[in-house]
Amino acid sequence: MNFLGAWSHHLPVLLVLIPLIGAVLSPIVARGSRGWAWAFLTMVATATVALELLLRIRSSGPISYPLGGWNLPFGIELYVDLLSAIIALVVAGVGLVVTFYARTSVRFEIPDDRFGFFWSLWLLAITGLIGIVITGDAFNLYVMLEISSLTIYGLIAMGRMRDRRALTAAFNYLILGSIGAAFILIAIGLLYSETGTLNMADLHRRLGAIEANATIRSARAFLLAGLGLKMALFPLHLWMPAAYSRAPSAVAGLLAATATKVGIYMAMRFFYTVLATDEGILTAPNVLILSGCAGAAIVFGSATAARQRSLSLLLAFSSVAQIGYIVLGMAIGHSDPTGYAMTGSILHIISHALMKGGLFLCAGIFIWRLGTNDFDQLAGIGRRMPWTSAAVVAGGLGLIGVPGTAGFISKLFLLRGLFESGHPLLAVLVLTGSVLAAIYTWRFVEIAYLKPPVENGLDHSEAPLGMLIPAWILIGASLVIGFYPGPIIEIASEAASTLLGGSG
Amino acid sequence: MISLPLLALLIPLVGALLPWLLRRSPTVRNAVTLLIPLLLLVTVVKMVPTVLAQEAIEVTLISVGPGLSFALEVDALGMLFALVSSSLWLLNSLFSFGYMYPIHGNSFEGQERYWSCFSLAILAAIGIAFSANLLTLFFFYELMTFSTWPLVTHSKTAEARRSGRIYLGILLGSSTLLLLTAIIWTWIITGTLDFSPGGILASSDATPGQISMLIVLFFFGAGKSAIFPLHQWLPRAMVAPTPVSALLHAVAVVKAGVFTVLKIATSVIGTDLLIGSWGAEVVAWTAAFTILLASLIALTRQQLKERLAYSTISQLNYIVLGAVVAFPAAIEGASLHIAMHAFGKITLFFAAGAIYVASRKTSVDEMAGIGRRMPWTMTAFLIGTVSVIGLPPMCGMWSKWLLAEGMIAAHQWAFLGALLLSSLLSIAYLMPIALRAFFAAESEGSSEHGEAPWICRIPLLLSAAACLVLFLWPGVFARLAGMVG
Amino acid sequence: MNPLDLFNHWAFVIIMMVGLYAIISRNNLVKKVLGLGLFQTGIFLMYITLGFKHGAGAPILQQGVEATYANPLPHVLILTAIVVSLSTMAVALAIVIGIREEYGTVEADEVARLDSEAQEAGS
Repeated sequence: MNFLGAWSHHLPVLLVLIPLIGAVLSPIVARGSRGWAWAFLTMVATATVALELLLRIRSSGPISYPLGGWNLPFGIELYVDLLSAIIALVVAGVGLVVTFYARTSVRFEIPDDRFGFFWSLWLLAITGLIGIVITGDAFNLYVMLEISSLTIYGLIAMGRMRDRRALTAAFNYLILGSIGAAFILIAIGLLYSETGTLNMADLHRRLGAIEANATIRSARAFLLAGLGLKMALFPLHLWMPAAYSRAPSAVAGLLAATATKVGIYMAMRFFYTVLATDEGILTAPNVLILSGCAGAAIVFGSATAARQRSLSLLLAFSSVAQIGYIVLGMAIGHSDPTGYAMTGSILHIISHALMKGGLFLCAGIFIWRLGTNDFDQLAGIGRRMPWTSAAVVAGGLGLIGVPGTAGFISKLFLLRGLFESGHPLLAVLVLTGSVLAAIYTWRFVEIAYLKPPVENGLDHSEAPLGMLIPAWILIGASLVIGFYPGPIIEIASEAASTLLGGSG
Repeated sequence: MISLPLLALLIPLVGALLPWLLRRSPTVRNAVTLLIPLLLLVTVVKMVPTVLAQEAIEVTLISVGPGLSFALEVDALGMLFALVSSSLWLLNSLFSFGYMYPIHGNSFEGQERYWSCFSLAILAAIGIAFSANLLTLFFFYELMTFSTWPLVTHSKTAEARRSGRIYLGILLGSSTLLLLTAIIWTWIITGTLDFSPGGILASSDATPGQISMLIVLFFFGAGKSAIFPLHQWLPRAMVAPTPVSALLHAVAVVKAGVFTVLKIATSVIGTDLLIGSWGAEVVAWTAAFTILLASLIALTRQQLKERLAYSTISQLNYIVLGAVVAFPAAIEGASLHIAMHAFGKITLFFAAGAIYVASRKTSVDEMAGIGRRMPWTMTAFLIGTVSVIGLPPMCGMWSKWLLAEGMIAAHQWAFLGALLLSSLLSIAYLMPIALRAFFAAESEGSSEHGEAPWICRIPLLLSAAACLVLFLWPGVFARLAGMVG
Repeated sequence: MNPLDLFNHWAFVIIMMVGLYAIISRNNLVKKVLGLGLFQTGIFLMYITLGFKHGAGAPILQQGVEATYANPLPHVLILTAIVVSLSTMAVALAIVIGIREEYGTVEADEVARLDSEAQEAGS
């Protein structure tokens, strides 16, 4: 597949340029419904490039792309290895599907005269997320992080038309997110002061040559805190439930599927590539903090999810728990020589992106029909909106980790990794989390299928296909992976071994 | 040419879809509801000669990764379970018409879901029976839990919801926390999940302590076998319509649990490792305790279905005990008991359902003298009772005989005592119902009613007849059971 | 080493802490935003200090002059960071304006009170 011809060696930069140009032009070229068509086209192009890039990297290894032709390590480098390509494809692919969904959903959530700006922010957010993933330069990473964060604050605030609390959610996220980003900036500054370089590969080389001193240790600490905020790792998740449940539904789907995943990617990149030294990838206290927080996230997130009164909040707290699984796999990844934990972690990034993205889209469908997705309004919805409800159940089964769903495959690897690395207690915690996930999923099932329907004079017919199809594409993809996990496992384990191998 | 084990999975899958597709033409749907089990039975029976000839039938469906795949393999034990499930499914579909239509009307609410979930549960049973490795088994095991939950909560009442929660909580909790842990642990130790005769752990370098831990995790993880303290879900599940209790909670679901246990004993752990490990000791004593406890509780229950449920718990643990004692005769008896208990117990449940259809009676007290009004039903009930107790001339005798032989061979006198004592108890909790139905006087003011409709009685009489026939010619079941282990 | 060498470091830590304190303790959303601005300014100072060298001049190449020069890279970086900070400020203030439009107040506790009242009225 080489349809780009001579352009093909510019693939990495195209991945950022396409959505960026799309974003800038969006308010100019497109008003009203044309705005969607423009955004959709942009996303199709982006996703195609991301797929092409992944295939290329699988066949011929990582790609380094010096921006503007400057010699490395002085110029800014784009560096795409298998892990970056996977995450970029997840962002672009899920972004494409959610863009399809947004066509219908934004009509009732965003004022007409804001469409152009909405799509502009939307594409910029995706630009930023992809930029983080493919950059090889630490400071560039910070800039990309801020591009995505700032646009996401704006996107969340656009939920004000449906729920004015979206504004406060966006404000709180902005404050916490900016502090998190500032911590990352400090960390990058400290690393620069020790090494005099910003290129990630170069940083790794130079850090390997010097003893870990107070500066490097505090850089690690700042990174840990900043990234913890960005990936909503318990107990730094406080911004997330409100932001996810009040944002426009398409935005919630996009964020849940991609934004925190990119945060986790940054953590993997920093801890396993940049900061990796001979004495260990993660220092012992870091492992303890990360795995402790992850374990607490699993239990706290799932238990809190079971007590929520609306589907959106339930899903948001469930995300807190699921991020716990991913971080857990990452945190103990280095002590598992077989690579199962890290593979499980990467697999869970993919499967959780699909499942949770799909689930948030379903939650949005309920909002679209009923104006809310509080549980007391959802009673008996299983009969009235069978396809949407079935999608929620299928996604929920994935969160539990029932065999036949993508969630099972990733948990299987994660569990094996936990056993292999001698953490059976953490494995028990993961399994407990699954049981708790069954409890919260079953709350929905009981309400939707066993309670008599409520009469509130609202239209309860099934959602339009424009929303249903994208939701089912994501959920369906997670089921397909559940049954045919072979290729995904292969890619994820390759990415995991590169990441672990890169630690020396 | 599609392979037979795969076909055996596809038929119930189609059966799960058809009720939704045919919702506008009930006649066609009813015909299909009988046709599908028949097709499945034919498919399964066609594989019998191959299995008896000890030829392997193997199909790899999907390869997941190194050492991981979804694959099917038909062996003697699996064939036994599949044969029982598919033949009784046919009877039970017939009985479902006779039970659901008089009680809930010809187009009862949630009808599509009911038939569809039934098919899925059988699909899961066949899948469990034919699975070639622990991954496949676990997949179908969980499928069974989820597909039977809507049947348990069929009435949607508050009680049904509560029971549904306990059902799911115990089955899912035990399988996730214990069974999955054991599976992953086995995977790490042996590097494979494929079943192999003699056990995959037998040829590994696992320490005796690890083996014992694994035994405990596996045997308690298969919570569907209703071993104490995980037996609570079974009496709770009796809130479901009687055909569901009959097929699923006397045959398919619970037998899936004990089948898993037997399969793991013979093909994962291996009987050599079981004998003499402390893990097996723990399980055996718990099973013996469960047998007696459940029998004693059964004595106190006045609701017929509940009494039958406790009887099932007790009988299931015969199989667990047989599996964990692991002497050849015990394994053979345990395998045979899967079939023999199924025929006896489903007869009893059918009878309970027929009584309910005819008279709306559920309590044991109300059934005095009912034999004069419902002679066919109660005769069948008597046959079922004799079979479950394990007396000649009914089929239940053979499996108990072999189990007892196994206990003697293993010099497990305490367990032998438990078996015999529980048989005595089962006489005490089952026999009076049948006898009082014929010989006691009807209580004052009981309603006028006659026999259940024929469509209820036919499956009931067929399964009762099977109890008798299988005593005289245990034939294929005995041969299959003899090949296990 | 002259303790005053670390003056800049002390200064940026203090400025950052003042900003952080304002974010946490102020009830007025605008003041929170100002605190955030102060916090980020502290980081700018840190970066600028990184490029500092005793007796160094501007990094301008001149024919025949051999002089030490300050590291320009942190300064360039911080130009970008200032732009980012400016945008953050703009987005934050835009959201505060939105909150003011919807709630009629920019006090955090007022907003929280209005939200909980609305929730009670709704349920």
